[in-house]
Amino acid sequence: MSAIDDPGRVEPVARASVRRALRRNPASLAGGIVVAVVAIVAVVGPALVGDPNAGALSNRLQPPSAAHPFGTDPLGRDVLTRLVHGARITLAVAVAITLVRLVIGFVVGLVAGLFGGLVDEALMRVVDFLLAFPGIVLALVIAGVLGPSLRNVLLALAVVGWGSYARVVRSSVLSVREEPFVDAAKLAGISRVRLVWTHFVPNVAGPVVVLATLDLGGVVLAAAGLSFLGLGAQPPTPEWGAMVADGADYLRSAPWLVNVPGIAIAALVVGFNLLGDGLRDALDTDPTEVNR
Amino acid sequence: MYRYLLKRFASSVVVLGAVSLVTYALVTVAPGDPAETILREQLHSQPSDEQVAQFRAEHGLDEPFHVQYVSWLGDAVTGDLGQSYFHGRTVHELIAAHLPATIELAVAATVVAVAISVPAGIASAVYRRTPLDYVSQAGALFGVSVPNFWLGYLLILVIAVPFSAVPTSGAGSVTQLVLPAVTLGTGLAAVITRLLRASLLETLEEPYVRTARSKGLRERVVICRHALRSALIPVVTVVGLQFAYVLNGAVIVEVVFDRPGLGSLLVDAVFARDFPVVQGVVMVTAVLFVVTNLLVDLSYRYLDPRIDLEASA
Amino acid sequence: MSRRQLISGVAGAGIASIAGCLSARDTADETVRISLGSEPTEGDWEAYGGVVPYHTPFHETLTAAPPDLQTVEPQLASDWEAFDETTWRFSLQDDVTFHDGSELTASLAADALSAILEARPIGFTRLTPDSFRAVDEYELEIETTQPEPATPGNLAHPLMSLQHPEADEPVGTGPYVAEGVTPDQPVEAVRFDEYRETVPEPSLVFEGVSDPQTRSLRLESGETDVALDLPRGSYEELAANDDLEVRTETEPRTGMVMVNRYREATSDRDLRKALQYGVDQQELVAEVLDGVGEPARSPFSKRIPWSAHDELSAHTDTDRAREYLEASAYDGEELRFIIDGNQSEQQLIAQEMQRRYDELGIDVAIEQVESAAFFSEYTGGEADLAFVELGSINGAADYLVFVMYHSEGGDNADQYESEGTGVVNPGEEVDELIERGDTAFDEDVKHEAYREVQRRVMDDGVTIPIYYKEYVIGTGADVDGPELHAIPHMTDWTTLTT
Repeated sequence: MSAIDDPGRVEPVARASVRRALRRNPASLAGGIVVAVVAIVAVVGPALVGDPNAGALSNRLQPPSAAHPFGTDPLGRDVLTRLVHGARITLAVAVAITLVRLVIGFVVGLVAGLFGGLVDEALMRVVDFLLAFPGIVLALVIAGVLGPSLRNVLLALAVVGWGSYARVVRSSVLSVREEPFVDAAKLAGISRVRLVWTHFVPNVAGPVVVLATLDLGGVVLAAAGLSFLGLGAQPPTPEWGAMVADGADYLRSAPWLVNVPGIAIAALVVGFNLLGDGLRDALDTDPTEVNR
Repeated sequence: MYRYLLKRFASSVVVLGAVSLVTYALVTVAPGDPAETILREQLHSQPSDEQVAQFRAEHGLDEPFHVQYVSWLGDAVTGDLGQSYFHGRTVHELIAAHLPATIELAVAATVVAVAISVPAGIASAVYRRTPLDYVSQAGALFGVSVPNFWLGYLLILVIAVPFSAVPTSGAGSVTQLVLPAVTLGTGLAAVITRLLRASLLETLEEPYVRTARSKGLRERVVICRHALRSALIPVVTVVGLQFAYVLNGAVIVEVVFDRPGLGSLLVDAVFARDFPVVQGVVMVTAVLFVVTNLLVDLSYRYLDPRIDLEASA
Repeated sequence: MSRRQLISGVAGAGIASIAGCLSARDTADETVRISLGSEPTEGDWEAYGGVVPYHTPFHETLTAAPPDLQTVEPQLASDWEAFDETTWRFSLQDDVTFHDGSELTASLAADALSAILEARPIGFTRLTPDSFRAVDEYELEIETTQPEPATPGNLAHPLMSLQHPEADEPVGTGPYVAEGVTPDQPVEAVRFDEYRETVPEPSLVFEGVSDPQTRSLRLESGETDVALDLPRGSYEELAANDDLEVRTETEPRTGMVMVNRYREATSDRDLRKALQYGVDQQELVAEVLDGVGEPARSPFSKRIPWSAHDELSAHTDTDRAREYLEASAYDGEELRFIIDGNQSEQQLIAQEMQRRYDELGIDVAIEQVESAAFFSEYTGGEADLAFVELGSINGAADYLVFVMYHSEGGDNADQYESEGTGVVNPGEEVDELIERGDTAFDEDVKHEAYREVQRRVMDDGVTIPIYYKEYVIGTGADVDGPELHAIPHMTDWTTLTT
């Protein structure tokens, strides 16, 4: 019964194996580095590069040079500076969306798994629907109808994307419920809530982390896509998807305006995907299995 | 089996009802008065109060929510999705006019995807842990990671501009399909390549494949005749299920390439607050999706009788 | 059905549809393709046979505005006079036939115009379906609900086009005949052989291409012969291309920022003046608009005959802006600046203005609002600053002044009626000036009244004019013309030859 009193039991093991696996798998290591670099840039970068809106019209649409490594935009602003500030926004939005998805999915999965029966049936039908229905279409309608803003994009993408978390959490709950120690714990008079926290949370942490990492890549793409369509960030916010959309007017004369943020988005998504694949192998858990 | 079908049918109806209610409720809480907006667009000047009132009455916009919804639903069931505020055409006509371009795009993107992914997936599995495998896997990774809107512009820059034979936009001819299909197809190809590789690796470990090998059959024969056949089963299913992916992608790809498909119809309608069209497109999407899912489920049963549909319902 | 059959069936259908498209492709040589900013059939245009009268050369109006907009010229009507304050007599030409062969008479014209107004009330006129009466074979009497000196000019508006009242297809009197109209498809215009004047041989195909960048790329790759409203960003690129001719023309249309006179912060005239003087129109046009457009001094483009552009001075002076700001009661609160989400150039200008205001010490937050909600936010008084682009596509621009600055005009009426305020209406004196101009049959009186309105409005600081719009039209090497018109919707396509 000592396991019940030691909720962190799984964690150290997992952490060590993650380290080992990442060391063995250079691709995931590279992914981790990309994500780490973007994260560091997002945290400390804005303080180092200065005002993303500074610039002079006389300096507009300059091609990449030593002074402006990624050129300048139609208002003479430095694209690198905007990219750095955009990293914070892009990453923060993606993490926020993923967290909201995770929280909704966690609650729904828990409720479905614990209560079972009709509640479970109803919730899982909703999940089925969300998983198979084209999410961007739904998010586009929600965000579009509410009016363009980053907050509405966040809301829309969170609302359509929690299905896979709910499934993973639910299946974890179900598998924990079958374990013999659950009956033992019940006999020992331990409450259901406490049981969930001590056994179930460590159990579900691995799959959920893997799922969230893989999901982050998709979320970055979806949020940038909606911003590209004009639903997200408001000017002069340098969100990466909006930067691509703004640059499209100058596709021929200043292709760097589209290419720089485009490559940045692709690199970040590659990073999340590599890291997610690596974590999945390392933790030997495939949350996507439940979602097929 | 009949019980299963009945159950599936009932749950499909519930799903469609829920989708219709949610979209209908959503557009009624939207800011901005569609009547005024549309009249302004048509008249090129500020409409008078009488004109706005007349428009609202004509389009039933002054009824309470439940009355509007019930009357819309009643019509929708018979295939009448109402009248676009803006186009002067029925939603039904608009969707019928825009659907072909999206279907063309979906078919072409799938062709591109299969053409890339099947060889890549096989090569990747057969030459596992060789440079070829790494290249193919890296390609797949980029395929899922590159944003469609940027890839589209990149293709315009490096292909359409230097080679005038490839048009940049529009729909109607095969050449106009090339760039959108490639843009959308690469993402799809990536998904299939990964799946095919995993599935093929699994099959290559199956006893019967090992037996075939031990009988001294040539590797090519083993792979083509034995392994590939069963490895393709999950792949084919996934291709069938990529409907959602294609529609997601169509929204952006059709905007980049200015293709008059369902995706760009929806984007335009959302921005123009042409709510009957928004509702119509979402409903048609939901119906397509429910039907595809049902067909896929049924084909599972047909192909793999071990699956117990009663239980999975 | 096996899976394999299913897949081959799907593939077959795909190939068939692709093949179907191939054969549908346009192969005729003698056509000129014209790319417009919107579909020539998009919208509710039943009353015109299903085509947008703004974009197609199938219909004509009683009067016409010449390319420089300085007068009103005859078109289907050869002459007109004001009979009394609310009655006009128009004499029609006697040699006009509709595309279906019927002859244009006054009674047919009366029916046609009634049908147009029956289908859709037209806000800027004082005409109703009952306004039109044939008094003779070619003599049309037009009765307005109130005195309206602008009637001849208003009748040049494309919405006042004559469509045969019995026809479902586009049947007008214009130089081209519509060759079948399918919604959301390009429209082919073929020469009308019985037209009063000679019409050049080539047929015209009007297509809608919504994205300006795409129109530009299509022109460059030769997919289209003429492209309207090209993006300013690619102007230089296109101009440098020897195979293309790129021209610009100033429209009677102004891009300007409206400053709400009745919001807490901006009700302070000193702050409004600071906002006004803080903007550098010259630089904005030269840089952000790539020199395409003209720095504006008045809310009414200098193409409009009564524009006060020449007598107003440029309002760019950072020092004065500082002085005004110091004199004002502004205490650093954030001003809400709304822009129409579809206008990327306005978005850039707004950001540059925001930067300059920031240097002055005025805090401005930009918010993109979708076109659909933009005007209700603006007229609802929900923004301190609003970027609007307004202009006339009419022979008379009188309605613009009324809509913009009269307390009961469309932009201000909501707030005026509910709150007793408005948005940018400076008040009673300006209302009276507008009414005087609006009812003046004497051009000099009208012009003076409207010029005084502009002086007052600028002095009050409710408007920051930014640019007079120039549109960019590109044509391929094997096309000559067309002659440019200040209003692109009024382009005479018969001046286009190959």
